[in-house]
Amino acid sequence: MDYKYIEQLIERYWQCETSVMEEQILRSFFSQKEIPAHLLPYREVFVYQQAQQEVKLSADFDEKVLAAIEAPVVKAKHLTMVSRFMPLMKAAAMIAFVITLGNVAQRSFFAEDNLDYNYETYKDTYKDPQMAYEKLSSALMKVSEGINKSQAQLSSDSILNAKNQVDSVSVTE
Amino acid sequence: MKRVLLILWISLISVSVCAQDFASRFLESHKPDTNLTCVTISPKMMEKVMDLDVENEDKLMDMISKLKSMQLLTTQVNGQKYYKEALGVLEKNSDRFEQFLSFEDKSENFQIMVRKKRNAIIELVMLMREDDNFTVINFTGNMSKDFIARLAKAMEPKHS
Repeated sequence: MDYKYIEQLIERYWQCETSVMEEQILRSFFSQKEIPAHLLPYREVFVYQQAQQEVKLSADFDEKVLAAIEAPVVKAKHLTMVSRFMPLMKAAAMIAFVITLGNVAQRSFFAEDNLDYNYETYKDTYKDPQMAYEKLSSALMKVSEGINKSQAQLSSDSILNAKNQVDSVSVTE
Repeated sequence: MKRVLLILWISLISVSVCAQDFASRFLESHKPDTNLTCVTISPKMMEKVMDLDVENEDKLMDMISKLKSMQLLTTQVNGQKYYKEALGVLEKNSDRFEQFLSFEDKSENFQIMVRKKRNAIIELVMLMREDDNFTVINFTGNMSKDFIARLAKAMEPKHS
């Protein structure tokens, strides 16, 4: 079989002188099963071209590309007053938590005694310590008087009770 | 996580909340009452009192050194009414205060209550009614039984 025509076509193909029709002839030739050995090195080129011509885009290609390049739709989100101030509230809550923790730590570690009174609210009546001293001593004396009177009444009551018990025992005898 | 933090915070607040003494509670429950007069001596003033140079009053100064504050409520009207109300407040806070001593006769009543913490008396309240006069003496501090004994001795009637 004479392959001169094919060889010429190949020669012209490399010179970029072949027409579309001639290139189609070449592709058809190399798609055959039996190819002479000296033309075999060219086969892959034309088989590849043939195969690539059959590759087609899928039906949803356009949709996919358009979806990929279209700008995303940003929907406006309605912000409520609460959600707007949420970061601020979170910060305030954290500050309150830390202050409370510090307060508790201070009370636990530095409390000088058992006293748990809020002395911060105390407003002194006197500015002069001498007047405060006089009021204090008079109050202490009143408490002292109260203790003594209570104790005296308690002891007289117990004596009276004891006497009544003795009387009742002697009557029964 | 948020719930844990909230629970922790609430428990911390409950620990850190400061207590009020009896006089403050009583005064708060009677706001606004123009009949009641309140004299307050704060811990800061107590410190100033301790710095005073008082002659021949060592025992008294020693007793004052055990005190942290004093509140004194007085009124000269409706003594019986206020006395009963004060007893009511004490009853409401019976888990806090325990009765220490009391005295009663026709013209006057005394009621002494104490608040204890770890065996120390940290608050002493005396309610006093004499006719229409009513007085609340409220001390806070670190008072022991020895303090009470010495206080009683300060005005002990002398037996001949």
